Amino acid sequence: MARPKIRNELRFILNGEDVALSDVGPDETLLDYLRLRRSLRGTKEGCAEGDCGACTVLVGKLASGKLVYENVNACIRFLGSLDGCHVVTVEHLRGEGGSLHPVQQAMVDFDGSQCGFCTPGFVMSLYALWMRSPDPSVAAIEKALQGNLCRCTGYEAIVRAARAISRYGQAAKDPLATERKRVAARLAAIRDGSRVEMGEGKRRLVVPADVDDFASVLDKEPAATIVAGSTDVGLWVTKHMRDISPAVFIGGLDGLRAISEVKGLVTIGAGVTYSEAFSTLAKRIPALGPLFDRIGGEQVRNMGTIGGNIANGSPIGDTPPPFIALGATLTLRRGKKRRTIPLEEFFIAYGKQDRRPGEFVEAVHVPVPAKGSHFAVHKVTKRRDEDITATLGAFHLTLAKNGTVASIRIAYGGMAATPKRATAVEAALLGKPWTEAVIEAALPAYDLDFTPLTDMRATAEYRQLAAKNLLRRFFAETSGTKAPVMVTRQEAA
Amino acid sequence: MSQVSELGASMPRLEASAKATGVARYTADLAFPNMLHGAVLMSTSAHARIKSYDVSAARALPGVRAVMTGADIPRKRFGLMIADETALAIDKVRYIGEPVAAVAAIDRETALAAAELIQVEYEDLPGVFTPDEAMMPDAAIVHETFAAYPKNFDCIADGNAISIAQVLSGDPDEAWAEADVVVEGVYETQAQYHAYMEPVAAVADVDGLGRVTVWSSTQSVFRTQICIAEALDLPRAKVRSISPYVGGGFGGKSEPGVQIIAALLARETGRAVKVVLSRQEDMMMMRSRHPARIHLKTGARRDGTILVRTGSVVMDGGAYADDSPAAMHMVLHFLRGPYRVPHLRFDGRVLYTNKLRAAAFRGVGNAQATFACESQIDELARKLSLDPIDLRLRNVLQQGDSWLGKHPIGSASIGECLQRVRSESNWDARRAALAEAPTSKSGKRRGLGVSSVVYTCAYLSTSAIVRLLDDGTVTIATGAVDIGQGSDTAIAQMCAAALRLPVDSVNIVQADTDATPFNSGTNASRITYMLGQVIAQATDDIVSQLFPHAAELLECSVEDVELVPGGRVAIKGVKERFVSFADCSRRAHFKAGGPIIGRGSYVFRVEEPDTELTINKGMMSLAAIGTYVFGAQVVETEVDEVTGKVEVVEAWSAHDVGRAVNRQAVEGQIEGGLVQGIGFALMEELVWSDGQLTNPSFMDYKIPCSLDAPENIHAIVIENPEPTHPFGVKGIGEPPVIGIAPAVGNAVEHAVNVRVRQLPITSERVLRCLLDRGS
Ligand SMILES: Cc1cc2nc3c(=O)[nH]c(=O)nc-3n(C[C@H](O)[C@H](O)[C@H](O)COP(=O)(O)OP(=O)(O)OC[C@H]3O[C@@H](n4cnc5c(N)ncnc54)[C@H](O)[C@@H]3O)c2cc1C
Ligand code: FES
Ligand code: FES
Repeated sequence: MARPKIRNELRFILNGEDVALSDVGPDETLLDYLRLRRSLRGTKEGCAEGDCGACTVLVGKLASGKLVYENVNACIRFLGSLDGCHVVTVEHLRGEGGSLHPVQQAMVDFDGSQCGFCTPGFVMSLYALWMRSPDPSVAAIEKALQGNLCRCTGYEAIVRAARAISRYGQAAKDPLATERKRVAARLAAIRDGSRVEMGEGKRRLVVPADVDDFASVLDKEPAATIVAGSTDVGLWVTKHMRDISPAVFIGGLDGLRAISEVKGLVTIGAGVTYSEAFSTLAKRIPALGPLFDRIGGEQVRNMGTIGGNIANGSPIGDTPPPFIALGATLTLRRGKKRRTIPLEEFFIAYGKQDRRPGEFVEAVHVPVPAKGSHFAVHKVTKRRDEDITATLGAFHLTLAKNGTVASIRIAYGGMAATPKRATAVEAALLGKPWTEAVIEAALPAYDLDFTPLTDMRATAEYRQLAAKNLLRRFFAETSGTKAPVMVTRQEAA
Repeated sequence: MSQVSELGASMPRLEASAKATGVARYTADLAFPNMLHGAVLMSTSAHARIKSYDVSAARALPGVRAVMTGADIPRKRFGLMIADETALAIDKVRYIGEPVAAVAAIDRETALAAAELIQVEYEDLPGVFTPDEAMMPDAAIVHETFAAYPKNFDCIADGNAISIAQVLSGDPDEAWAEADVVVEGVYETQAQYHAYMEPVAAVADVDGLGRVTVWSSTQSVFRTQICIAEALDLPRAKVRSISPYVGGGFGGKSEPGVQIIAALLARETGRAVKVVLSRQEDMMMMRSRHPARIHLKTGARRDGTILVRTGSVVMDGGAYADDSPAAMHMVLHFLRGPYRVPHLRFDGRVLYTNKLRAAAFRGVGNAQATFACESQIDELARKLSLDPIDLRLRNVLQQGDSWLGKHPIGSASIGECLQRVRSESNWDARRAALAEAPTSKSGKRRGLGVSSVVYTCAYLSTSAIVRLLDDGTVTIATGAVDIGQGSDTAIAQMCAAALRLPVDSVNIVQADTDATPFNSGTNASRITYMLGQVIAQATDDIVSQLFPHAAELLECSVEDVELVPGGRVAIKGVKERFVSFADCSRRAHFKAGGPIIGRGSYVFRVEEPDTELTINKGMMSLAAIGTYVFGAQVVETEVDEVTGKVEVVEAWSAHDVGRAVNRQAVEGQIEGGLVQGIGFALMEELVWSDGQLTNPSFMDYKIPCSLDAPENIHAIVIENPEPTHPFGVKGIGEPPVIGIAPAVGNAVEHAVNVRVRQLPITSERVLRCLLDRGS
């Protein structure tokens, strides 16, 4: 591979200004940079772990040549991930003729702010929504605001403000819209095809030029921390004070951001974010739509990648169980060598995956369920949204003409040390008629498949019971009977 | 009293655009030249004697300017009701997270790194982690020197008790005999974290004369001043306390956060020091709502008339008293509910444990009491096969009734509030329809539940100074901190209304102990009520000084002038013959009499209760408790029988606010409080394991997000002008949070026929109850 040019400088645009930095540590967050180095203190810190949205800013990035602005959490976003991006903070918003920006004026008029600490974050999330969709439905607004917590308003006034924004101005005339071409050109100029490299020891940071360059960097430095969307790695730093150097930032690599479909097999690049994957997946595999809507908040969905969700090996990652139930495979790559394995085989034990030194996750391949088969995912959490899974069940069923189970794959998250198939339950169902009696008879097999743990999200007992109930719900949804699911009543009997 | 016709309109908050543009400065946003950054070392032991410190490595770290431990600070204790706290632990630590040492350094990373280097040698002591453990005869004692602590109330206590109290009225023991039905249950509420979005923060500086100035995130600049002065052993005048914008409080910032630590570090280094807690530190170090266990029993006649109610309450106060005795008082005071209960007795005990201190939280004590009271009313209704609203209406307090021992209740609008939620929610038809609807195919059922709400507003004292400037505008100083509830705007509106000025002619002085007169704090829904009282006085004072100038200028007698809108004084009935406030004020400033300053002072006081009729032991004075505020709430919930998950899909919340000063702001208080109530009802709970908090983050401690709020919240504002108030207003800050948990519990029972007596009503608890219920 030809060695790319090396640049020892990180470049991005902050509001209206070109920024070039040559003294950045791999763990320096955008929020600290804004507040401490730039005195831009409109962006607040409420949690430093991606949960509250007080730190929300917009990041504009080029995606296949198009400039897209997304709301993200500055507290867990590293500067290293911003090369060639446009960062927009609340200080950048202006209305026409020096007045308030339409988003801000709506928040003022509709009393969307009480103590105001959350307000700049809400303004930025609403701004992103308004540019994307100037006349959003209430459902779209609530979804867009999932990642912003407000303890004062109860959200109602903010939703009212959100619905009114377009009365105060036109999204098409907003400066970010009218200057889109110019900014895109400036960003394209920054992305000069070089690798960004700086610092050593505890301060080493690399932004590869492209995927091949990434492969060779990682081959040479297999111990490096891969940073994609940093929705996990960000917390290692802000919460656990872990040292992540040397860090390789791959969030900007176009080569990992493609989604394609060939003969019913959807291939998702490891760097595809939840938001980017949403439209394709929700269309091709509709059951995944609501699931993706419930991963994190908008900011996390804009940053977090499918590759990161798989590579982190977490037992409560939301994408592995449905992908496993669908029979997905995973491509790993080291240097120029690739291998593809069934996804479930990637997860070996808690904290242990089948990823060899120098290897990275390149793509996941997800078969679209065949016509006539049933596929469903159910996630159980404490709060309705933006919450980590207590247990998640994914079910993929094909019935034979005679009504017996021709094939079934069931996978769960939150029930074991890894995302795991319920093989004993599957065995108890395979070939049998799809009836309530068979379902009930299969339930004891859960105790063979899973011995879940008790933690603050749920007790072991609850996890096991809810997991079983999810199968009953899946049955009720697929069996065509009118009867309500016999949930707890049966259990008690 | 001047006319108040401009009140009641909706207007944006004065500071709304500063907040929306991000220019509003909160404590963490402040920066001073040469400022140092502080970090706090938290105790890793729940209960231990401190044997020794080794701070040498921390001191030696480059960039460190001061390291302080309990050995370096005055041995002076402070506290709202019981002086039991120190800013850094002295001799003992009493909970995991308690500040043990503090560092000031050139930046926060260095300060944090230095704090990690401090070695503290602990001698562990057995801990008490629940009230039950704390009450054991051989329990470890959390505060051995409790008896010697100064206290400012009639404290009854023993062992680990912070306060033991009783309320008695009538003859409950006799009354049971007359009851046809008795319901009894144990109700438990959890530790709810305030979760203000702005973590606690303070910046302190000292001047050459040893005077300390502190900017901080606080609900009361005066409590902050008092506590710093007491802890640092300084006269009040040597401490100045200021609040920049405050990012929410809800009770959690009434008492000090890290102000004293910042002040100690500033004094030690002679430089400004900023201390900002991380979310995790805030959760481990600050406060929660008091967890309570309430054993409650109610007796009634077959027709539903309540005769008697008794209860015993055990509350967890955590490691320091804070306002625990007041919280205890509130639970006992409100356990009867807004009903006629001829015979009652409530006993309560709040205990020290080796955990985070518990403290006031929106609806202090009342939220716990109301969960028990209003759940049990529904249980009674069920037993008697009565409609829950019918049963409540049969028993509600009526005009002219009193609380305890003739304690007056003001306008008794509880019946009206219940009627309003009944009609607005279409209660009767909706309840019947939901009960008959089949369980949905995916296993979901809906139910409707109600709760009454009663609260008081108006404690303690308040004052105001209004100054008429030479251009005819006014400046008002009250010392009240606007923590987001909108008091600054309400102050401006009331002041403008009283003087018939445009609102933008009123300038508000930021709360500052040097510049604003005493106000005991933004809590207990007291601010708007109390400020109205003093604003009326102060503006009347202004008017009485203004009129003689106007009369002189208009060459008429003082009796012949009146205020007209727009900052003018005119000859009565001849509004073309006027002088402006500016004309009068210039005359006062430069010619005669001197600048015009109005003042107002107020403390709420009614008669002490009749001790023939009621006995109150270990309680605060009822004479100061304020006027009563009534409300009613209805929620519709959906219960998922597959997972046990409960969602609130629609809510109605009716409140008699006396008079809405700013309608939009009142609705905002109702909506915001209601959603906090949903958090309390369904998901929020701090959980400890052997004294270690297991979920100190927003990842693991969930508060409601936009999708947890009901699709529709109906805020119903009822206005019965409060007779004791010049503008007719009552407080609305807290009531909306109070009735939601029992209303949700009642709706869950209506939906799936199980009664959950423990908060929060999690999926797990519901599923367990469903299992126990069987088919
Ligand atoms: C507020 C919040 C809410 C969340 N909610 C959810 C939720 O509801 N459901 C859920 O499943 N998750 C949730 N998460 C977790 C998180 O979003 C995911 O795990 C995410 O998918 C990780 O992707 P990332 O790109 O951010 O990974 P990063 O944080 O960048 O990396 C994660 C791990 O994967 C490694 N890695 C990343 N890319 C590759 C690659 N291509 N090859 C090899 N290794 C790689 C990294 O080295 C690291 O070990 C939440 C996180 C936050 C902060
Ligand atoms: S500070 Fe809370 S999400 Fe960033
Ligand atoms: S306005 Fe206070 S947190 Fe939203």
